[in-house]
Amino acid sequence: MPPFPLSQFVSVPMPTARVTGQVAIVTGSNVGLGLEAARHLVNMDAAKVILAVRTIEKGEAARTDIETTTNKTGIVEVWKLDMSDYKSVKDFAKKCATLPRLDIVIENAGIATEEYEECQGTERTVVVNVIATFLLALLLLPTLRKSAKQTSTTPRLTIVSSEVHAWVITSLLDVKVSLMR
Amino acid sequence: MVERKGEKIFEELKKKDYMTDRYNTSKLLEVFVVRELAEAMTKKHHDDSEKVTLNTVNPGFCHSELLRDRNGLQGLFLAALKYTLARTTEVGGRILVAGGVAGPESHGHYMTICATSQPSSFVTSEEGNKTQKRVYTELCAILEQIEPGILKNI
Repeated sequence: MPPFPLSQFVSVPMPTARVTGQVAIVTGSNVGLGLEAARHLVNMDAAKVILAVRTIEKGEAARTDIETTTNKTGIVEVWKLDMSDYKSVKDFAKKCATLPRLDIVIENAGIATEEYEECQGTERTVVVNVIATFLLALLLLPTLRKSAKQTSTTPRLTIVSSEVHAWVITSLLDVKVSLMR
Repeated sequence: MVERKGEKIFEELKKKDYMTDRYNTSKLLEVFVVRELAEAMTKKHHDDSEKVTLNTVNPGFCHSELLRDRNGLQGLFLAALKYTLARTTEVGGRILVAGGVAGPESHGHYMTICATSQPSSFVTSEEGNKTQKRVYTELCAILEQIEPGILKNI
């Protein structure tokens, strides 16, 4: 893989895999990459794709959009998940434990801000992007394992990170601008 | 990630300094934790029938709403950069899905454009490795506080 920004010109293949019968969750999927990932999963024949979103109305709009473009109904569900609230993460994980199976979790929800604000007693980027992300990951592991055993498959838990992990200030002399996902 | 100079990284992150580096730092922390958590899961020697693949994907630079609030000079710069470099949101979605359908060989790995790749040189450096272990240990303690017993799930 060439380094960034040359990597931007590498072509990305259309997904060819089928996920027939599988259940997937995509967090932060009312807009952007999350929404598009969810749309692909519907096209790839998933049995159920859960849009985990903070605002149900926005999730419903995303659902309508996916159903219209894929011509498939009854696949997408909209579930409430607020990553700035640990209680919401726990409630969401509990609901996931009732799923008949769980094959794919794409943790995409995240925020980018330079304004300092706290939630849960910590700066909110750290809460949403890191603490709640791994709280959800760990809470879902037993459900994923149960599903693995029942369906004889290996479920996937995917965390969306970024090229910019390489752009952090590693010495005080570095000056870097944050501009990418 | 200047916060690593402090005694406790997550305590340092409660300070208002270096907010321009905060998003990047949060993404670095994710890469660290995926690597460390994946290793911890492997070390638990779960039966093959109960294995779960944990990976992390880098979608690169895509059109999205993530930076919708940036304006002024930074906004202009971003718009120019997006125009020349960014992939469409739909293509970005493909990259996310590639992680979601990847095989067990992707466990613990960082994936760029549908294939496992190397994370930054800081991540693989000796200091990066030390920082990775500190971040993971601190995060585990925080998660255990939020949900007692959660570490048994690993």
